Amino acid sequence: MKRIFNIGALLLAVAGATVTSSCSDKFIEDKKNYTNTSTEIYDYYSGADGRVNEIYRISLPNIQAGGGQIWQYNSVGRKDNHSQATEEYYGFSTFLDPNADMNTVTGKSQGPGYFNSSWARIREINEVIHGINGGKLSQEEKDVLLGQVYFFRAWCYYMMFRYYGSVPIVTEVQNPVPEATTPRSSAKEVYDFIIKELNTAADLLKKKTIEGKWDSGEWGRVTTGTCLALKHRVMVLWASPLFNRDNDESRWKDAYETIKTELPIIDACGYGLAYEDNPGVNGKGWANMFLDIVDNPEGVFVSCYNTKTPDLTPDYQRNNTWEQSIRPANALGNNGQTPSDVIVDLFPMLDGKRPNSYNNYTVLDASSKYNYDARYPFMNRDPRFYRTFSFPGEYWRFDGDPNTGNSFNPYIGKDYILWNYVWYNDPAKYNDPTSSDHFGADNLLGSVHGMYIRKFSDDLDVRNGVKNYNFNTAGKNVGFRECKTMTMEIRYAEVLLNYAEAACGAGDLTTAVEQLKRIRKRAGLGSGNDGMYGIDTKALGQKEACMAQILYERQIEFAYEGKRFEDMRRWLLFDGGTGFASIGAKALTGWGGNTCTWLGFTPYGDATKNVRNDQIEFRLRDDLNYTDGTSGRTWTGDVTADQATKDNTNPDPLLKANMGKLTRAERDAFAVDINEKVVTTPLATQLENLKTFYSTYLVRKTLKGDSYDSATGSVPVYNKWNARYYFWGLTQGEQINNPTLPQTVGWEDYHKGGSMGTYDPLAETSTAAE
Amino acid sequence: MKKYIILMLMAFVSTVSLAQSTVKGTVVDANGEPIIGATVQVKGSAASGTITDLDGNFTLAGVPAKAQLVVSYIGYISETVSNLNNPKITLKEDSQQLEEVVVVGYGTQKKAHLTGSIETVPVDEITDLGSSDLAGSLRGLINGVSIESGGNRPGDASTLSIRGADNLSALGVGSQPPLYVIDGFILDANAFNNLDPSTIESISVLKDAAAAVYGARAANGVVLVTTKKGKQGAPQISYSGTFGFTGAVSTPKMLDTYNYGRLWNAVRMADDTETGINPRYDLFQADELEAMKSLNYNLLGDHWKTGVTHQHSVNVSGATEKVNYFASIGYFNQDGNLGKLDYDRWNFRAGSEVKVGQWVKASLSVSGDYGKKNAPLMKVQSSGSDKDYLSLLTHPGYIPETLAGHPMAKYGVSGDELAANQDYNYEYLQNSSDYTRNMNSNLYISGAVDLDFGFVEVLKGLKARVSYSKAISQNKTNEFGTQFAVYKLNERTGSGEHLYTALPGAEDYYNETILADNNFLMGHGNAKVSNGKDGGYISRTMNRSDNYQINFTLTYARQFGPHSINALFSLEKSESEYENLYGEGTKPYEFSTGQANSIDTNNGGITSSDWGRTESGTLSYIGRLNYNYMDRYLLEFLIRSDASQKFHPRNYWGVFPSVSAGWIVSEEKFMKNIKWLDFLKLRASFGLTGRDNIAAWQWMQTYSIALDKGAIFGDDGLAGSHITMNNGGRINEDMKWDKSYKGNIGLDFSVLQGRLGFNLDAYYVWDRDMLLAFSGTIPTTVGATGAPQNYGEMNSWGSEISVTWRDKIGKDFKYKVQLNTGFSDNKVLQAEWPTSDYFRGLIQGERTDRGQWGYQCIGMFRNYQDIEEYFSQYNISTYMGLTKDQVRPGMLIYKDVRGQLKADAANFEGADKYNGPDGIVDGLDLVRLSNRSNPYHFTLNLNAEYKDFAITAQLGASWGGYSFVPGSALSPGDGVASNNSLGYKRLEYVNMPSFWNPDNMYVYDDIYDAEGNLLMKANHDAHYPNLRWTNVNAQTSSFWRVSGTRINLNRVTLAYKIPKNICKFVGISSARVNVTGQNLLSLYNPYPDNFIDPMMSYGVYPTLRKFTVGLNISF
Repeated sequence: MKRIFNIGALLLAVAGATVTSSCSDKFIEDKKNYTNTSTEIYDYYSGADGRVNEIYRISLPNIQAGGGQIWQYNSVGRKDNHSQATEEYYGFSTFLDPNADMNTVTGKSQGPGYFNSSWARIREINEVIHGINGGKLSQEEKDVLLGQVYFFRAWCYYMMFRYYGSVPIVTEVQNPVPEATTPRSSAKEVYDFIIKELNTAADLLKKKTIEGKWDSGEWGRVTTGTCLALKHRVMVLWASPLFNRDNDESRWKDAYETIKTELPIIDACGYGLAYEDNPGVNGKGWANMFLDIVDNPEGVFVSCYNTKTPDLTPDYQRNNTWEQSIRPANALGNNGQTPSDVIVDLFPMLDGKRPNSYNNYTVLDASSKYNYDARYPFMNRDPRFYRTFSFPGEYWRFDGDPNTGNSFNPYIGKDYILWNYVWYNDPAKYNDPTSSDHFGADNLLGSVHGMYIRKFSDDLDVRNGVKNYNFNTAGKNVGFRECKTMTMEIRYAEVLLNYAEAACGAGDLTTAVEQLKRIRKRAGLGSGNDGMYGIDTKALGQKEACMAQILYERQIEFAYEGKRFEDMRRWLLFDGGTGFASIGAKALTGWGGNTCTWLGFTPYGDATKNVRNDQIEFRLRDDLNYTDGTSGRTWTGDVTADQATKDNTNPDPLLKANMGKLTRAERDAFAVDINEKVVTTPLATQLENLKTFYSTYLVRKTLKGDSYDSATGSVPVYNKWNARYYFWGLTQGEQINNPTLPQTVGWEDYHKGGSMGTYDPLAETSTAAE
Repeated sequence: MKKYIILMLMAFVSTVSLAQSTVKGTVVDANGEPIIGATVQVKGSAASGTITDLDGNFTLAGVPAKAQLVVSYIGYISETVSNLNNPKITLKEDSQQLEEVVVVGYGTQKKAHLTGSIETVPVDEITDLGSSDLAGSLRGLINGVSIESGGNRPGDASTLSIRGADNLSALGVGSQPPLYVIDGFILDANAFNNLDPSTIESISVLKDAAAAVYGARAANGVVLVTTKKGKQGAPQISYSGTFGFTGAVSTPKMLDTYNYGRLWNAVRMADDTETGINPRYDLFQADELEAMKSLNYNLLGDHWKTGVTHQHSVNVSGATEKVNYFASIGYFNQDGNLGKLDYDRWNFRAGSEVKVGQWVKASLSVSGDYGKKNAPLMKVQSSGSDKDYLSLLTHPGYIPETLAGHPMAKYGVSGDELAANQDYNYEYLQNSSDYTRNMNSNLYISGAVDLDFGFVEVLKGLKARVSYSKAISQNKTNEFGTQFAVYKLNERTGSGEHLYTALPGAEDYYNETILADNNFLMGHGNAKVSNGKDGGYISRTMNRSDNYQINFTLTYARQFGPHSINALFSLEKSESEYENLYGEGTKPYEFSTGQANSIDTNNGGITSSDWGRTESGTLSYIGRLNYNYMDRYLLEFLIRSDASQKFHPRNYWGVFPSVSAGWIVSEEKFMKNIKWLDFLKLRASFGLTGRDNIAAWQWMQTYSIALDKGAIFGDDGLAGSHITMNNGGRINEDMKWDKSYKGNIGLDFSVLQGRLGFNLDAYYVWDRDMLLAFSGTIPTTVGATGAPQNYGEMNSWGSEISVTWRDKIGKDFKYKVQLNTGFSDNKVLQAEWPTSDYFRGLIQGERTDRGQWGYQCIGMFRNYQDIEEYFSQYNISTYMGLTKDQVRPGMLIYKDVRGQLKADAANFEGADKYNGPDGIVDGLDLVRLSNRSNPYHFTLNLNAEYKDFAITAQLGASWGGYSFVPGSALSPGDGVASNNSLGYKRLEYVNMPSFWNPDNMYVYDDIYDAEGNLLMKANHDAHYPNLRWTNVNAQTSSFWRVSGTRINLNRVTLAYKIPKNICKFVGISSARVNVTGQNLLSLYNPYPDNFIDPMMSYGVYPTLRKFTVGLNISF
């Protein structure tokens, strides 16, 4: 019996132990998810930093995102719907297409769907902020990380703010349930939120980026200076006519005072106007400024790239494809990018004045001493012209050999001259703008463009042989694909021009002009007799002249940097702001009720003003009576032959080998070198020489850029803007997803049977569901 | 049915008598045959007892005078005898089996007292089947349980689903396996399938709210298994073994080579507008066709062989009053029918229960299995390994597999490689060094201690039990794949150069030139073919899982006069962990050892590895109270509370109550007069069960580490690591288990002295809060699309009827017929509704099975006139993606029934969302060709015994729906979707089923070869459309619709019990021999030319017909 009790006691003891140990579900809480990492990552700097890096990845402007609809990304100056809505590119953007009005209805010509695509990023950012705050890092570490993330939250909200004016503000990670709605905050609330976030971010990063500095391997991370520079951009935006319809001067003053105070802080972060004291020959310093990477004082907010090869595991590749996209086909580039005729014709002359033929910013004097002749657009231009465009007869060197024994490409990289004049094989098409049945010289043949965009190009001799790309002659990364040139969303020039604009708006025109002078001096423009660097002296006394000068300067300085569309929207340059009343939005009362009139600018989207963009090309003159080349577009020789033999099979009718006028060497002697030869032969002399070549052999032809009337195909049609495009509406899908959000004024409201929305983002109160 | 009768030891205290004696007696059955192994005990004294010997005799010493003896034996009603004078006790068979005890989860219950819907399985019927697939063995035996075949290859296992749980998949609920509980230990389907049937004591299935005792995991039903234990009596050694043969139920009938050649010609020439056909090289020439008459390489026939399967198990068991023990070892082996496939498994089980004293009991058991599957690796260019059967089946009969020692590629008329499948050379792969080897082992250990508080008067009836079970499973797979060459002939024979074999009279030329080495070119673009992965690979997968379960259980059972109370409380805790390790190397050397050291790294070979871990834990409280009054009124209340780490900590706990009641009407006094009624019980249950078989941690934000494509910092930095939110941060912290409310009413009765029995159950299930993907509208400001949410709702209902008739004819013939039938249906109330094809997708208020949809065929274009008329009559603009000038005679005609979505489609449901016919015949024109898959079914289980012979048979039938000629038989699809650019060209290397007889197929025009010989005559009246136009003709349509009716004789067992005297002569106690056939016959074949048997699918490894001989011997 005793034994039984012993065993019974033992059993009870075991049972008791089991019960006490089992009653708690603590052991369940101890279970971990090993398949994935958990929020514990925020307890470690490497983990939290990995999350912050993700925020960089998804938020940074990315040039690879390129082309077409780029609603998800900031414009970086490629041929996208934003840039196509400006003077920079031809081809109707959906914003200007007279054939199809942009709307919110699913199907044809639907407007931007930027709204829906932003929130995943904001969710990530909110999650990181929440995670870092809940993690176990030291406050100092948290500050550095949070500072960067707050910056990007502000950046994301700024992106929506500028397009939608008023958006919901979400700062929490919400459960994905239908009830998780957030109303639209007023534009003022969103503005205040962004400013607050950027101040917070700037503060958090102070210790790291003013007292200290990111390592060179961390170059590209945001700093206090980045935060402040973005804040200044946002403040100027808030003061701009788009938001400041009554021209409330306090907004300008606010921006002016803030920038004035904070400019030294930005400088303290290591930023400044690159090459300001070393502009070099013909804008060489300015060109070089785009190519430096680490510690480039110009790069206030940048995206970095590398030269790595793709398709490896892990895939570390992130190339800047711009160099590849702008280089001509016979340099193994990706065919190049074509500027519109309008922007070529509007660049300032060598003395910094606008060309006399350019009838915009007419508040400025058209007093250039150089007469602009459209037949020779390269004559006597602002040095930035030669660094922004390439035209037939211009050296454009690089390090590499595209003539690898298996092609008819004529030059090795260090001798590369762009000869992109064209000929037609049918005289009927010589003057037909709709025909692009042309062939380009030097093996460009069918893939020729009349002009090429050259901006940011890594010219061989700009940096004395240092280069940002690996040149490949074959394979997936052919040409300049592997390129690490960084893109700059905010560069120091913008910091100064924001300052100038704020100062101008606030009435300090002298300060405004000072900033313009710094920019122009760095660009290689001469100071002129009056020391004004071509700036109209009226800018010192007349606000509209000063503002026009600033906007014009921005247009030139930032061409192909994705800024122009925003400038045009901010300043209502599509219609001067006259259309707001017609859609029921807050009317423009400042600036005389019409910013275009105020600035002397032709409303870019006014269908009655016949604005459109076409292409320029230089074709062989009719009187050359050429016949060769008509036989076709291809070379027929042996690709491995030496160059002389190749010339015999060159279909170019200008060349002697084809009964033409010149040998290749004779032709090449006309070429202009904006870098090396300038030292021995002044640029002006070289250009005169080239002008002779043009006048003898070439004629400028306008080739259709923007589309023609779709019915006939032969009648040009013109830019057409709708006032509602200034603030984007929610597309049908966005409205379906967010049924409680009111539709922006002027856009179809899906929930109200397609009648127009009435919500004005400039209303000062937030609005929940109506 | 072999069931187990427990002794009802009453708490009477027998009067102590000084006089004791030795009692001798005999126990016999109703036929006077001795019963061997019957237990004889003195009533009230479990300590003294014995069992009967081979002649049914027993001797029991020390029996007090006036004592009573209790005699019991499995399957018989226990008898109590007072006559101690050389008694001859006759035990009656327990036909009603009302005393039968059923395992109900955390305990047992008398079957008569059940209030829920619980089915038990006739275990002895499945032990004869000699199968490695336990779930498959249960087919047709349990009403309300459906068994889905998981394939027919050795080692494949079926899946089991209870009361239509599989219908939930239509809503996107993952798999719905029932919960498997083996000896109280919650395990998975794999553990269940690996059990050796001869060690199983019972299997019961909880179908209704009775399953709520398993709480959050019970919604799909529960399968409970108990294994055998030693029974009191002399040690028993028994052997049971089966030895059998497997063969295909049938082999699909294919075209002979001659007709294949003619089919090719008819298909190639089907388009009368096609130009540029070379009549010599693009068609089989007359002389070639003539030669093909005698060419019939039948690769499937050559390689298919009868499989041998055998299974042996030896059980040792026994018990004394202090100890019982059971040990078993089993072996199962099955050969493949195709290739060197080989699967075997060892099983073992040993358990013992020791009575430490009157009140304490301890038990321990160890069991496990060890399985091995070896096969050649057969993956050509990363295709799956199951291509062997299809490839052999469809191999054109004129292409040899090997020629002069060269493995040949299946290059057809054009001599080109059209698809990598042509490089599949079965014989080479079988004989190469490539392999896939799998080993799986499971070990289960459990121990328990029981304490009966009976020694304390007030605690009488209270028992405590602590049990611990542990399972360790390990699995390992090694694979090795290399590269190999296949060949084609540069010059072939025949006037069109299509053949591979010598033409009559040209043997010399053939041997010298055709078979010359330089006439063999490497196929596959002059490159080697990779087995598995590009460049070959070796890999090893290893994983191990450990889990344990602890239960602390208190039970209390006591009778207070007419009130009987049974109470249970249990605490259950379990934890499990799983870890895996995978290593792989590409481009191994041909002489690879299969280890990491034999990777050709110089040639780009890369080793990679991966490992992971998962763990989980549950904690549960279980309470149950049974009350019965006078064995008449039964009430059960149970509640379980479960905590699971699958959910957010605040959602850990769920409570699952259920209540059920029963009324044994026949026990009422007023019923006692109704003589024909033996038993009548009404029962009803209602309760809540949960379904938590979802992936864990979905509530928790998790992250993935991405090594590349990140942001860049610095000069030429790497696009390096960054950490992303998984699922875009799409989580739902509130997610819970599905709730399934189950209601059931049942009626059990038997009449005519137990000869006719009825079991009738009707159930209704309310599935609520089902966790489904949510694609509904989420404000985009949230930044994530919908995470799974608990919003699905579905109702299911049905009934199960089981009728049993058992009777005797004469003295020696006994038989039993059991008919199982029922119906089930459901309707979806809330789900993730479809966003296209509304007419055939889920619709609110309709059942999950929306039927079979296809085109309505209204004839065949037999000439261009037909096409013109059809297009103009119905205003057709586009026909199956073709404009009028692309439509050809020989295509089927489908009806245009529907147009595009209406503008206001949102106001309509289903098919009403669409406009009328729009002149475009496309995927919007499908009509419902079968309302639902066979809704009616029954299974008939027959048992008959005549003297020592017994026969068991099962017949199954289902009907009421339609099925279709399988799509894979309608185009030379090569096992891949037919609608791709290869189109009819696949016919170059794919033979077709026999109903594609070219004489029955549409042929537009007479076909001549290059010599002007007429190869085929035009045939515009053919029944079948031309195989050329598969994009039109191979669609599911009414043309290919056949009856869904299936009547199958699933299995028959014939058994013979060797007479006792013979047994005795050879010194064994009993022996039984049986012959069993499975998948025997289908009694109705709806397919054209009966080209396949309805028991199997076309083109996949066939259903096997299996004949086994079984032997059961007890020593």
